[in-house]
Amino acid sequence: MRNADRISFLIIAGICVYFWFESLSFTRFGYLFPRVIISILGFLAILLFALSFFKKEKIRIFEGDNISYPVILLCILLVIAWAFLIKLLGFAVTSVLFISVMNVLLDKKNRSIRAITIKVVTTGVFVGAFYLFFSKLLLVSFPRGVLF
Amino acid sequence: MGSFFLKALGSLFTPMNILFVVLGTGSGIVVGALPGLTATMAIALLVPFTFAMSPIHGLVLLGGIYCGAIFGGSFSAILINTPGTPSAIATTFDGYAMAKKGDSYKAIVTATIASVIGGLIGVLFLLFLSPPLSKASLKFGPPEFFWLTVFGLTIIATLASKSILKGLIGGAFGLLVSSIGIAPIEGSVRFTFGSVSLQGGVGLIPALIGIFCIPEVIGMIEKKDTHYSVIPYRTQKKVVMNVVLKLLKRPVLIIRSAIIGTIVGIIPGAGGNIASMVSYNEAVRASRYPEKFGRGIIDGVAASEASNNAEVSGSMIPLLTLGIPGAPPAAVLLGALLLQGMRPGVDLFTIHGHVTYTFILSLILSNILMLPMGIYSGKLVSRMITNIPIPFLAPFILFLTFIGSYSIERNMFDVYTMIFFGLVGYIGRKAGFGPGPIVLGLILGNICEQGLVQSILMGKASGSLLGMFFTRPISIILIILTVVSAGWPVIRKYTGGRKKYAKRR
Repeated sequence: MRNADRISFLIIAGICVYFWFESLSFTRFGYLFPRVIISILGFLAILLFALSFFKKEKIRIFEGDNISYPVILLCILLVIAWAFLIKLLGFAVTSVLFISVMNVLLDKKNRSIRAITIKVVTTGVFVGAFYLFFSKLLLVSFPRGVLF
Repeated sequence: MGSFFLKALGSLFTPMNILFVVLGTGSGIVVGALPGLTATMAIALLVPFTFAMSPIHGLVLLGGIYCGAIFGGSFSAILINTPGTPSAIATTFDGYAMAKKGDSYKAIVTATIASVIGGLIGVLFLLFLSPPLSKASLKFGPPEFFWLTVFGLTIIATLASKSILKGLIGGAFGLLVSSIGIAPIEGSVRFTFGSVSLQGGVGLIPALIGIFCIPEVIGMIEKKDTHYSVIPYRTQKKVVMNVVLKLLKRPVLIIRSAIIGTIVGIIPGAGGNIASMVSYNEAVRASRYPEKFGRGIIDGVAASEASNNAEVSGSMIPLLTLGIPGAPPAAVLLGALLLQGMRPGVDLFTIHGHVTYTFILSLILSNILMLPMGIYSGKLVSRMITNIPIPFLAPFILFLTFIGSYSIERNMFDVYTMIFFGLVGYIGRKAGFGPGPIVLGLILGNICEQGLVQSILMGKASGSLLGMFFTRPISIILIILTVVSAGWPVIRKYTGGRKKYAKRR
């Protein structure tokens, strides 16, 4: 089943059920607003599900479009790893590392040693400039890791 | 007022004050253009430094930053579909669509001219109508706020370009997410998944950056053809003149948007984001060609930008006269005023009248300065952004989103929030859910809940729950506006606009 509307219904229904059960422990004025919204959301999701059987034009999720989803998934995983490694390696080092890796990954035409060196140096200069601007001028202290 | 006005004019045109206006406006534009860096943050960072300055220098600098930052937000909204400040949300709808067609410079020029005109109209309101308008804002109680948010939610019909049902689901989802954190009344800790970081609620700006920006970056990566141009930049002649002529033919659009921006600015709690979305919605409703909105039309950019820049001055009306900030940056400005020993109210217009009027006039100068700054830097920035290769631009935008979401609270949790909402936005986009309704729900959720619960409490105390919601004069006006706004697409469908509306759906 790749029908976007029916998958959406299942996800929204799951959210509604979870949030409703969570709301059982709240005080009266704590659950009033969320429960009203959950009821509306649930009703709209059921409507979406019901209408999906009558729709002529069906949206199929993550299918077609000639898109390489493995590359997209890899990029998403890299972004998540980037965020979680910041505390360990430091903001500047992680940023240079991941921007360079993504740059090389996405630029299939230029993967020579020279091109990669240029990419890493350019990235270093950009990240360094932004890092200094924010940390020294705007006094935003970024996380420092084991290296920097 | 007259003597203060003349004194203030003389005081404003000193080299130092002009320098501070230029510096403030210029740096405000830069800050606003960087996603995640808000006007509030820039002003908050500089307030401590203004303590050592004279009151006029300090206020003139901060006012310039406020104006510049709100305008600067349009740059990234147009060029990378990421609102630099929350006020530029509605600018993305048509601004980015124009950029995708190669009209990025035209969109920036439109944003610049509309911002200047909207900003100037807002300052005129601030100058002449401060006392009467600020009194009206005092009449806004919880029921009025509740109805105001309900009216705001009717904008979903405009934002949900493909399916109203999905727009409504997105809006409801945003409202539900906004209820995460400690309840405003009785203090229940809600839906925090055991995380202390979520007790304060979901950060609006990280969520906003994620939901608008991450899907766009993934969209860039999805394109197999990663040649060295993200969006084609077209060199066009007489862009400024053409935009001016087009905008001159739409005076009502700009004036209406500026008035909406000013009024929304006066209402405490409703910021530039709400102003720009309400104006955008009104522009669509009043247009003879609503089907063109969202596909890259200057009317959409002009409505949003005229409104959010007028909101700057609007938010200062209750601030200067009553000490009630109309928007978060105005709240920080209140801190700057108090730091200088100036208490809002009558004193500001009498004892400190010279300083106050110099500050107000400096906003006029700041708005005028945005014209050359926007037009000249717009061309440069457009060319620069549109010619950066995707393999470098995509990760670099991700880097900016990291910086933007982290810088607000210096908290890594905001970065995780940004990524989470980015993925929600991406998957939602694939399933046909637009980001606009979700963000609208997130923005309005807290105000809506507070208004609803407080109104119920007030209604019970007064013995008439229905009376509390349905009999107050401003509430009645807002209910009528809500019914008209929600019913408008249906009316339009069955009266004349049938074909156009069908196309748009």
